[in-house]
Amino acid sequence: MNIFIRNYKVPGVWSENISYEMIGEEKEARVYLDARKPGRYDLTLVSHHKVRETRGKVMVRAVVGADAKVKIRGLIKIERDAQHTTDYLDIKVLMLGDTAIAQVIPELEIDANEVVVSHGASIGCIDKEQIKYLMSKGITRKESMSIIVSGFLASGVE
Amino acid sequence: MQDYALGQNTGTKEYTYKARKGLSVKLVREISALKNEPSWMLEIRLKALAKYYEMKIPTWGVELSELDFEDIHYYLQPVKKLYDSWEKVPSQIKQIFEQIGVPEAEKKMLAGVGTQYDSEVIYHSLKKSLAKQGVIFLSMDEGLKQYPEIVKKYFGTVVLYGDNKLAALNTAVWSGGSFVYVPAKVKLDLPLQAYFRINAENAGQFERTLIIAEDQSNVHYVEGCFPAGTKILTKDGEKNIEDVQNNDLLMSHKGFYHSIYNLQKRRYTGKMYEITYYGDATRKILVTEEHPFLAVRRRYNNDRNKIWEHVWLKSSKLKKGDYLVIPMRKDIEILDKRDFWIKFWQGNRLGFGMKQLPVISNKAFFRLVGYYLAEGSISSGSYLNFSFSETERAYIEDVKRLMKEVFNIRKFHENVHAKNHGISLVYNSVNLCRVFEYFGIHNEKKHLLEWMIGEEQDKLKEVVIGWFRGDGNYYAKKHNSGYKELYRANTTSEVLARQMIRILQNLGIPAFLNARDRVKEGRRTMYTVGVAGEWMVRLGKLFDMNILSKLNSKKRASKYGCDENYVYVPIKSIYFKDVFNLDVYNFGVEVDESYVANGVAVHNCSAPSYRSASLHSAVVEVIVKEKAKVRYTTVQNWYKTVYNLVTKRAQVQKDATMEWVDCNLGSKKTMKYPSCVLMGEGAHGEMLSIAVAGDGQQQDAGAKMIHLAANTTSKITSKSISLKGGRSSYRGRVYIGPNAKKARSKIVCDALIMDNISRSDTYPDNQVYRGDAQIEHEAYVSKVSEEQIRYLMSRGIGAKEAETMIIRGFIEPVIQELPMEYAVELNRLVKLEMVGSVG
Repeated sequence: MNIFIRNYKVPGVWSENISYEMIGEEKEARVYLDARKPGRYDLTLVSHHKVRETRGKVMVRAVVGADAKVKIRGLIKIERDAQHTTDYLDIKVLMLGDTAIAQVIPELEIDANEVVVSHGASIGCIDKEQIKYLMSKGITRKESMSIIVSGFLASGVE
Repeated sequence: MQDYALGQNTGTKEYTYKARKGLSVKLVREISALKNEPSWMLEIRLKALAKYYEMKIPTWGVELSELDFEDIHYYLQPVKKLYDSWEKVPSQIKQIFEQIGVPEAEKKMLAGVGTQYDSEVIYHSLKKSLAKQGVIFLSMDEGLKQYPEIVKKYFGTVVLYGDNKLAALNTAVWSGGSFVYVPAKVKLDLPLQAYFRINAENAGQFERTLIIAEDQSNVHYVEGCFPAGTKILTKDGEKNIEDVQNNDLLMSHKGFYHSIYNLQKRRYTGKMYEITYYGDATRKILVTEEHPFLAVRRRYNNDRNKIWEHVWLKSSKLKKGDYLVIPMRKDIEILDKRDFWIKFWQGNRLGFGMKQLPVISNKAFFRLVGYYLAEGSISSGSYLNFSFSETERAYIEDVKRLMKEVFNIRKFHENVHAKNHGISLVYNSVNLCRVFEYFGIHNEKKHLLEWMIGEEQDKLKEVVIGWFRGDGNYYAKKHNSGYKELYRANTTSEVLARQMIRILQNLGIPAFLNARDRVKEGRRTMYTVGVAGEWMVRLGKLFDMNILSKLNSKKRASKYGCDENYVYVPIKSIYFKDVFNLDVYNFGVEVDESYVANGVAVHNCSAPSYRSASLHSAVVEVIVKEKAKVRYTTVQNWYKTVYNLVTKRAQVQKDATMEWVDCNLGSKKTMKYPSCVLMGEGAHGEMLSIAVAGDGQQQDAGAKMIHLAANTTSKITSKSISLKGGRSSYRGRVYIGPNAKKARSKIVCDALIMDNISRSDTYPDNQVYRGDAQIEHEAYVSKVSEEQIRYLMSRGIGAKEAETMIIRGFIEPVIQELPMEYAVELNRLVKLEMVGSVG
């Protein structure tokens, strides 16, 4: 399996094209977007299946801090010939401040029928209960936030 | 052919007012004046029209370039009055509603029925108890007359006319629709429903609904095209259009045979075009005004076209001199042996039985058939004769050789008739006669077998050679107009003459057909197949005759054109007459959407791009005030030529709930994104939708949830099924604004793709401008799992049925939410869609 990992920590514009051109190809992508610094973060991910029996998995984890604006567009595109493909796109966004802005566009364009393709996207905030719990163990608020964020970024990795 | 059981076009041509096609300021003023509207409404209409001209057609979503906004009637008014009881509705209109089941629905005590027939609501009823509670359910026009204040207050506040081009269009020309007003604290449990139908072709439906209504549309109209007697080319030869059956295979304009997916028949009143073309003097084509023909425009007045560019032209657009197109058969099947089922005597006890006799189907056999068609006859059931003149010795020897080669028969008699210089060659064999009986015994009934026309060219040549040697001649005569030279062959069998022309066409030789009525001589009509001009060179090659391409130092020329796939024949005359209540017929043909009528390629009319499209562009505005709850349900089953471009929006105030239940089955292209603007604290919006995209359909549906206030919640559940090349898309937007504290949204999109030519897309856009918001989005695309089907099949359920069951399960969550009548209707529609028998 071909795994590639990306870590983005400063504002910017990125475009990742994951293309499947060999029959039976298997790929996994993990993208960590740490947008705790203010600014614009723009990420486009395209998982393009051109041939059959290809398998893919794309995972995106993003944390968005105050005054940061994150845009994530994830497209799974399956060509007509790419039968028997599977792909899963998983986008999770954690909002840290009230002034955080996130736009998530998970898209599917499916032209073949023998496929199992899905995506999930969620945008949420830190569970206050979790912070309270950590603080009750003597950890400061700032530290406990940091623990939760690193835990969030690590989630989804087996 | 059977009539449509449901939703026939009853052809109500008696509109009291029918606006011209197209849009203008004058028209908008006319509509407003006709309706006696207050001046402020006219003002809104005119402002919207100005905006409409300014705005552009949306470039995203579905392709709308085929839709010609100038080719639509923007206003039709069927009857002047409104009826308050069912009895008073004219029977013709009643008939339509009975067909779609309105009276039954009423019996079931639905709250009220508002039916829209074209642009005007003609019938309304509302349960008295509701009226007492102050619930207003009127046509939009009546609503405007009776409650101008309420309408003025809310009209266009949710969907502004500048929202999009189609909303502007609707605001400018709106007519009909429903106006519902539910006063405070009144609970409206029973669903209100209204039926919509586009009857007149090209009639736009621009209904305007304000506040709450449930609409269900049901359209089934059929479009016929040719009158009875038109010959349709099927795999079993030519047939009258009225005799064509569901299981016939029709030749398409590409020369292949395809099955029929629907038969249509209707009454037609209007212009009937009569077209004749060179190349066939015996036939004229009768056709309704709008039927498209495959044609080539004439380029030069005095010369033949050099380039053959095909276009589909409506009969009304054809001109004298334009070329009609005859497709060559491309469906070739080459077999060395063919089985003939023949009758044989099994003895006194068993009588006659049938047996299979394999016959070598080679070049020799084809030539022999050619000889038989020209000179053969069968006498006393067991004698096969070939009669030649004594000068045709060589041909007699040829027949003897062929008989030996194909049937291995060497025994024959030769009778010489000295008196008329004839020689007849007689074979005595019962089986041989049985085989040749297939080609007709009597001269006027002689014909070829259809599979022979679909054989390879080398064999076709032989049958032409055999036939021309017997019946053909070379004709040359000096006329006043010049020297005339042609190959021709005569027969009294019309079927044979036409088949020979088709064979010659397949060989790239355009031939023409003439007929001579010989009733006065007491003889049968004589059909002449002729080849003239440059095409004689090609035919001459078959007979090893060297025909020079120049005649009197001028190049031989002909009216007809020919390339690898088609023969082109110019139109001799075209004119129209008016007909009244004539039965006309049409088909839907798989794959190529075309067939061959009276020899030339025509479109089947039902394919998307060649039917005039209807536009349904409604605007629905719903205002849900504090703690109120509204559910708006739609089961949309428009006819498959309709563009369904609808703007639906609800304004949801504090603690109120708005639910859209939306089922899209019909229409050619749908763009519909019901929205909820959640502007009050705690407002809730919900969307539940099913889309089924079949052949030629595009369902671009979705939802918009705009969270503007704190604690607002929304939920979108979208289910789509794509089959037979259809395309369904989910396009949605969830917006959580900076003031939407703790807003939550959940989106689930499931898609099923039934085959490898269909397509499914998902385009959600989730925007969050707030840190404490929560969005969950899930989408899942799959095909019907084989495992599930196998499991059901192991329980003794058929494959097709299993598939249907799984689909039922798939859409179940939506079905559950529908009122019972709609659920039944939807189940029926989905099932019909799967079987593909929806017309």
